Amino acid sequence: MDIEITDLTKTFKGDARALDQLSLSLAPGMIGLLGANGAGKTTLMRIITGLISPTSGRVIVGGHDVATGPGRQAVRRVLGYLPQDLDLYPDLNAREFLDYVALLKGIDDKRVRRSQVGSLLERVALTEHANRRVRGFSGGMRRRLGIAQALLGDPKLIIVDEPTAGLDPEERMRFRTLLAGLGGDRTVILSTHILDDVAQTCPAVAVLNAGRLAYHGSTNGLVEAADGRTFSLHTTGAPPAGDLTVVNAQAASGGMLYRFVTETPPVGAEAVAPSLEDGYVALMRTSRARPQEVARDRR
Amino acid sequence: MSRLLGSAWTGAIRYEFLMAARRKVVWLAVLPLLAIGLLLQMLSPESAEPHTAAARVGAWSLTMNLLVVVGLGVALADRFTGTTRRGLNELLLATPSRLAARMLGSLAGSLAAALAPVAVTMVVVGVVFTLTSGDVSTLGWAVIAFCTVNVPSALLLTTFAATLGLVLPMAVVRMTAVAGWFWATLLSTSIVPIPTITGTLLSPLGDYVAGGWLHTPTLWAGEGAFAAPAPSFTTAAVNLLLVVAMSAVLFTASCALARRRL
Repeated sequence: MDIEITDLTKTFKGDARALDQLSLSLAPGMIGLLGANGAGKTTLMRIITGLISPTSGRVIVGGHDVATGPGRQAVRRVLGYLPQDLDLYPDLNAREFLDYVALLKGIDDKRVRRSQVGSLLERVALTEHANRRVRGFSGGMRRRLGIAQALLGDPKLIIVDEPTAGLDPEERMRFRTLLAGLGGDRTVILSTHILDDVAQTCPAVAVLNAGRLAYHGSTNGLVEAADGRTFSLHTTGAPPAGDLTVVNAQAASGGMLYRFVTETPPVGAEAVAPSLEDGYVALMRTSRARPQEVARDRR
Repeated sequence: MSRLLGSAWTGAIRYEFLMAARRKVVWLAVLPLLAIGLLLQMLSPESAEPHTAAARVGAWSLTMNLLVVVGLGVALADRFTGTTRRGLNELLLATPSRLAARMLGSLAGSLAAALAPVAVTMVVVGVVFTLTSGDVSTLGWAVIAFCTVNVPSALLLTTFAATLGLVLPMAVVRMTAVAGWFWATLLSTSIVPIPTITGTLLSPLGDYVAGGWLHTPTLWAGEGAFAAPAPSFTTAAVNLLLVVAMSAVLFTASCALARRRL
């Protein structure tokens, strides 16, 4: 399902501009949506799902304009959404909760509902907890149940907001595996702060900065943004100074090993292969310096 | 109606019923008041008087209204805001279901669960009176009393409280619901020096219906300061229609308020 976003602007009360003339085309597949807090990620997802209206601009999802009532309804019929703060009904068990959401999604046929609920519970490894009240679920189990409800009705567009926030490492890996299998002919938008999640699940990525598009392209392309700009420096003295952004610092051999992104490496610094984290930092540095140009160049 | 509102309405009724039935607060608010109501009614000298079977079940339904319905309004005041507080609102809004259908289902489902003890009480009262009087129509009158006296009153108070819950803090809503209920059903202008709707056609007590249709001795019906004709078949119907209409108006307002909160 293609998503076409044109000159999208959203201004909240107090003149706070969350999105600023954002234009973006998304094709089927897994897309990571990155950006700092307040970059506009959640606002963008809320507009795509039709939860809020833009101040100006257009969003066309699968040919449907989400600014119109019928357009929003059409999008919601093919949408699976996992909001960031999802606190499920504590008094329902997992099977009942999924059945309820299935009814709200318009799946009238009882046999179809039962079959979908059963297979999704199995897919998210909750079959043995199907009849347990959600009240007793761990954070990871709730998230898995959340993704199961998003998959009800076999949606063509799936939007997940910060799905791995607050999960322990094991649950995160399990959830990541689950997410990786969602792509195919669907469009899956994964918004997260955890770059590792994007690196391992999304072949494409879009980065927002202050409501504008800072990058849209392949995940490898974002890594390459830090090519020739990522360095490490081992020192027993003061940390490296100058126009640089430290990505990582760790104790090593009686001193400290610093990893940083800069255009002007200090004396003694060694170039290293960049990671997605370095690429993101490099992009943010460039983007802050000349926001308009970066977005235009990457498009 | 079900086809018109779609599966969202069916789902909301079914699962809001389940959730309300599993919430301790509903039972904590309803069961003690029900027990007090049962005790009062059994000890009442009126219950020994030789009224008709219909009048006797009507008196029981009025007692249920005076005491139990207020607990029900308190317990269900958060019906329209519960999903917002739990962060589920966005998820529900992202489904193709209609907000009004979900809210109506939520109201009907939770009300059905909370009213279940009253329904059981009324049926048991009907069965007992049938056995003691030998009049088989008593059970039918008990069901009629429940449907025309208890359900409309509970519907109005719950809709009132749930609608207020969209604009006021829950503690204020619950206090207002209790005060409002007694203002509208118990505080007659002959007792307190303030204008009230007790005893008028606007009162949701069910007094007019019990008096006009079941021939139960009325408490205040016809004694209000305005719009208070004597209880009759017609005035009972008017009172019932007004109570249902006020519920519908409040529900419409709650839908508009809920949309504004999005």
